[in-house]
Amino acid sequence: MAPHRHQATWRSLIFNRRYLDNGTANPDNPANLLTAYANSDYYLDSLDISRVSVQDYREMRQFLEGAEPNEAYEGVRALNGVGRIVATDVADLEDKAWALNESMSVAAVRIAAQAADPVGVLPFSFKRDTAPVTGVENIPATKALRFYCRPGPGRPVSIGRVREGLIRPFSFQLIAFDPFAYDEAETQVALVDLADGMNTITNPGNVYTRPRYRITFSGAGAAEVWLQNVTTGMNGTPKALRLNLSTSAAGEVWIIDTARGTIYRLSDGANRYSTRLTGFISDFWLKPGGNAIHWSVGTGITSVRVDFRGAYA
Amino acid sequence: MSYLRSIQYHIVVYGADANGGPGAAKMELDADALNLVWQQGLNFPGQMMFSMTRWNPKVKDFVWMVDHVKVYRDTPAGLKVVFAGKVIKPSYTGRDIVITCWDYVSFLQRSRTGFRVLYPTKAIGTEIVGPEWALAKNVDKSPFAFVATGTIEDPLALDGVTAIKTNTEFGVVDFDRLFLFYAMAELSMANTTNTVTFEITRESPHTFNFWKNRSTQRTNYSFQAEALIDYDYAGNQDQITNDIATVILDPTTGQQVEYSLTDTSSKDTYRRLQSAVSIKTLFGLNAGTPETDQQKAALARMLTLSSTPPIMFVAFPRQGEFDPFVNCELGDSFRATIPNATRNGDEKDGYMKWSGVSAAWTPEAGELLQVFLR
Repeated sequence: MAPHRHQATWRSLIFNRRYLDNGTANPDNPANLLTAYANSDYYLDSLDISRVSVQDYREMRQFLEGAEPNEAYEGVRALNGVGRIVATDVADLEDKAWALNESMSVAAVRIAAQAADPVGVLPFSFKRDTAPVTGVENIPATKALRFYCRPGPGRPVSIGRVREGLIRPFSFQLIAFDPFAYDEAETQVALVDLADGMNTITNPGNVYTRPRYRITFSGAGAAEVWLQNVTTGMNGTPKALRLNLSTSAAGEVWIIDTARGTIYRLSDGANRYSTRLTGFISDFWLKPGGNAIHWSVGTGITSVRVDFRGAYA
Repeated sequence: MSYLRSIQYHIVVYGADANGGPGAAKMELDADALNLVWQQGLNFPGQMMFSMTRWNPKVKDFVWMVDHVKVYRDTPAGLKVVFAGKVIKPSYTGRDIVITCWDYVSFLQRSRTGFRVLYPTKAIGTEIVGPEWALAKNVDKSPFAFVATGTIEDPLALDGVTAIKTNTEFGVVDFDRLFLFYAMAELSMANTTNTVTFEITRESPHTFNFWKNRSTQRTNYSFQAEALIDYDYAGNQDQITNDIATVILDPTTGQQVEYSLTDTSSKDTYRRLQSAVSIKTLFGLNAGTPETDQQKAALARMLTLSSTPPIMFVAFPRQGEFDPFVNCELGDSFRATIPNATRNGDEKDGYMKWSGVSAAWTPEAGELLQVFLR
């Protein structure tokens, strides 16, 4: 974990903005500080991402989020941040304090996340250092990650006081009901063989993730299409989803959302689950590493794309 | 090859087809069902319940009392439908919705027999249950129109050959058919060792069957108390009676007289424990004429049962050790062993009949089964 060495974002807030965070500059070198923000910034000194508990917090999550499926949620992770507001003047100090308040408001986040995906939570984005290191300064590569969070209760804390000068300590807490970190960038992989062939999809994470299959149609699909993840399954038998895609039309895009267990038409959200003949969507998670995906018939299909973010426990 | 959970449940909701049966799939609730509970019992209606978040967008798509639902239990032992029925009603709270579902047998409680339909001297299966099922299935807009008629057998008496028949006065008067079929099955096996059961199969094609004796002694599972998470084994001593009397008609005098029987060995052990019964039916008995002898035989059979009444044993097997309906069915018997307090010898060791199962499952906590044996 190295959010304190890089920029991190939560909604409109940018922490450690003074760092030249272009992926090649050494954050340890003071020469790389952006002077415009050195005295006007949220200094994030530490971020504790300890998992609070692995016990079932679904009831609390339901209450807070209201409408999310539970499948990916297996615990709670609390992100406890501690730092300092460093301001150019008193006005900047107060404005930053109140901006911090708004960004960590449960009500404001609830409203901001109504149409988010997943619903009800927003990303806290950060970077961590990783191999390889390069150059004489041993500058590490970075990996951009995100947790999906809501503000914890009773935070943030930033208390003004006499003789504080232009520095005010703060702390905040974000709650990630899904304890996994996800790649900041979504991976999109097209299935290259839709005619009874195998396709390899690589989940770069270290824990399972649930993709969306995005099917673009050129006409009516086949009356029986098999989708299999040969890498997963039980007793040597891969799980199969058998679909009747004959009701599709040219230009339509259908989504198989394996996290929510839905099949719908993208243009209007119309339910297309009735095309399911046998099998279960929830079986189509991606294990870490390579996954061999089998698609049986490409009739009437322009492309099948698998969209997901790598997940990290 | 790998899987996330060794016990994974799937819930799929189906719309209704033209016959009122399960039609096209409407939605999968694997990611949405928060707390799943289901139960099935021998000759009893089954229920299933689960909760969803109050604002889950899928909730709007339910058509209560119309949509069908199947619960699949997916384990290394195989994929099994453990519950099939209809979505009945929601119960809304500020946070959650609890959804109640009935299995197909439950709908027999919404099926009414005729008024004063007599079945004198009729065989139980083919001449009572069969015709009543046909009426239930074929009535206009029947909820069972999609259910096929399968095997309907006649329960047999103690000799294992003769079909049990009703007496000359038997008939129905506006019963619900669930109660009628339950009574037919339970009474038919009450005085025999048979397992008479009726069902509407969970797997498609859904089929109504009435079995004269469906029970297999299974050795693929056994319930040994020390290998269970927990168990509940209550003694049955309070149910013991060993001296029973009834009133029968003396064929010689034409008078009502008392007739009593005693189980001597039981009396010697427990002292004399008396009760009185009134014999209204003669199911399970074919021996003896006239009717007086049949009643005497019935009382003898009842005495046998009441001097050693059945015990209810509730087992909580460890997760994954028992797979309901995989190579077994309700009515089968499993070996159950209860050690005595000294751990030397057994309080109970023998085969008991599987009469019911209930299960609770969540994705995180897994499954807890209760298996009822008697």
